Amino acid sequence: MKKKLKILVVDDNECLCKNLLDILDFKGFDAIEVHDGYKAIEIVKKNELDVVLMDVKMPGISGVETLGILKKIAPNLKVILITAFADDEVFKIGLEDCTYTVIQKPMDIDKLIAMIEEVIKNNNITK
Amino acid sequence: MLITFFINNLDVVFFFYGLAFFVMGVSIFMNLPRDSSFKVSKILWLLGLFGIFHGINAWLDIFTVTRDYKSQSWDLIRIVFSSISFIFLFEFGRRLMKLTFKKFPNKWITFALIAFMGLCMFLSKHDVSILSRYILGFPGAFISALGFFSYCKGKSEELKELKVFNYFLFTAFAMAFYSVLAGIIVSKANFFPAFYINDESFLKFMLVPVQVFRTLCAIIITWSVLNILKMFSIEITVNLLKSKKLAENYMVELKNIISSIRDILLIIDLDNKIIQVNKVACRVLGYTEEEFIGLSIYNLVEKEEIDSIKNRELIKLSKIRPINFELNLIAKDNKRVPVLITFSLIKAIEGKSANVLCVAKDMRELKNLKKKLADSEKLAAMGKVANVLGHEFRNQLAVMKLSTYFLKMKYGDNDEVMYKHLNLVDERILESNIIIENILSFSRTKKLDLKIIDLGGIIMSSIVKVQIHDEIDVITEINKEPLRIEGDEIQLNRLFSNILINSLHAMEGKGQLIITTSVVNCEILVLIKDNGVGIKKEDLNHIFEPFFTTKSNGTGIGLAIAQNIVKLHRGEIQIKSEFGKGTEVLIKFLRKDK
Repeated sequence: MKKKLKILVVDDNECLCKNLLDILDFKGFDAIEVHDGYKAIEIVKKNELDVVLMDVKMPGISGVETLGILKKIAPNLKVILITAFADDEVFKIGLEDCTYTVIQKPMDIDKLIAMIEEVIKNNNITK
Repeated sequence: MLITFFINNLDVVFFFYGLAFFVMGVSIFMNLPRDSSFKVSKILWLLGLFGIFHGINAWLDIFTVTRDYKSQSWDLIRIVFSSISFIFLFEFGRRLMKLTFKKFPNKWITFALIAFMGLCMFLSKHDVSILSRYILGFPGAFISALGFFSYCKGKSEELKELKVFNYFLFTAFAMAFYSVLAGIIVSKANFFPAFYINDESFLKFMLVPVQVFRTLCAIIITWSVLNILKMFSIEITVNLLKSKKLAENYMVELKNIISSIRDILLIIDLDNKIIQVNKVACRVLGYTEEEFIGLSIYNLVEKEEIDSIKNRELIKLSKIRPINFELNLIAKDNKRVPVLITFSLIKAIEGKSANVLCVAKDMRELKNLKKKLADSEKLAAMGKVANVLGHEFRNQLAVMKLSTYFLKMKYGDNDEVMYKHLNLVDERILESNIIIENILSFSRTKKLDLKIIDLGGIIMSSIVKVQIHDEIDVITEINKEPLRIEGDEIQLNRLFSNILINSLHAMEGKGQLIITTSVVNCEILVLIKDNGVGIKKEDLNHIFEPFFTTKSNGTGIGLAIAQNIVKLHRGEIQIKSEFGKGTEVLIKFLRKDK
């Protein structure tokens, strides 16, 4: 039995989360959603995850701050930040720092899937 | 022997004595200096009058001394002349002293001495001519001598410069001797000191009559004074040269001022004819200086506006205070130049009539600046709004995109029509995102993130990004070898996306898009050619202006951003277009070999 890749979607835009979850389900991933950074941290603490897709601008704790905490809890966790601003600093840092990747809204979904699948290759996990 | 010679020829001595002083007096009046900076020039007339009166007095004495011509009225005439001459000498000396010593007694001392002399003459039976010598002659000559001394001490620098210092000194010495010879050595009389010190005792002692010495003094004084008088003409020459130089300097300065004025400058006469212009006027309005001269100011103003000038009675008004208003000047090539014009009167000066000065400020630049300012204010406001809206809209677009993706993924394979429609939605999402990108990038100034990149790859990815419709025939002729330039990938992508989207809009869904690249020397040329609607001639000048758009739903910043990006890459962008036929966009970049 092949293990499904576990994905956490973090975005305050619930509609976007549902949409993304449908696609990820269809593509055969095991995806769950939360709508803020605190809940994301809780989930990561309790569960073993493979990929986190996270919005940068969220109420309460921002995506970048959450990223910092998540990296401490699970250093090997693959994080893909989703931002509405192409010129964001995270974008540039992300390009140089390979601990996380940045993708811009409205995202190219094929590209996003490709990013996720990259993790499979690296971690040798199957869908 | 000598005594008898002089005694016998005393008339000759008197003649020369009188002549010397008379010449001095006449010379002073003939050369009476005007506008001299030396205050002594203002009082020399007194010395002149002394010379004339005393000279005449000496000539009158010839008859008395040598011909023994005596009568009461004759004596009275002589005394009047001699006394008056000494009064002038005393007054001259007093004023000369006052030039150096401010506290020296004023004119009342002269009046007092005259009154004292008159009283003495009236009361005493002595020879009145002796009294006038004692009371006025001696002090007059003596203070004159002192005055000359102190004057040449005080003004030594200036006097030396004009080479008359020595003459002042000679005059002072001669005057000092003269004061004793004429004021103390008097005719013998039976009262002290004339009883002991007189011309007879002088003759016995010196063996030469006192008149000879007086004559010598008179000649020295006259000779010195004549030389002093030259100083004033030298001064005038020097001053003339100075003022000529000064005038020349002023002229140069005036010309410099005029040429450094950066506004249009016209000087018109009272008949509204132009009589002088500056270079700016020639440059802006296109006339040569020769063409300007004689032209009426009304030739430069629009017909409708002439009335407004005339009605304001320009010339009359400008006499009271400068007036200014905005109008359009007409250049030689019929171009209208909006200016803020000021008319002010140049007052008439000797030998010249009044003119009117027109200074016209070219308002084109100011108007551009104002527009730029308004644009930048728009930008700042837009930036704030764009930041918020950009974020929100991108979230919405992301949701839409996810939905279309899901629908295409799940049902698209079975339903071609739905697939096509979902693609249309995707295209709109993409364009909306580019609009957001444009607005965001235009409202922020960004530094380029320069890297060596392949232009061909960027063009290809831009073509992919804008998702060109199937009915548009895309022909790409892109060099196979890498087209290396130093550039910002994101910005260049934006540049080509903007140009391509414009072309796609112009073709309205159908047409041919040719994208070619070529390398010419050190430049890489990118040509993007479409056969769309093209750009109207009158719009072609405005296409790079921000917010200029002919589309009903355009933002008008796509090409402005494109131009800005090209400029930041030190490239060039040219757009050729024919309305109804199509548009050609040529972009040049500097090639980077390594």
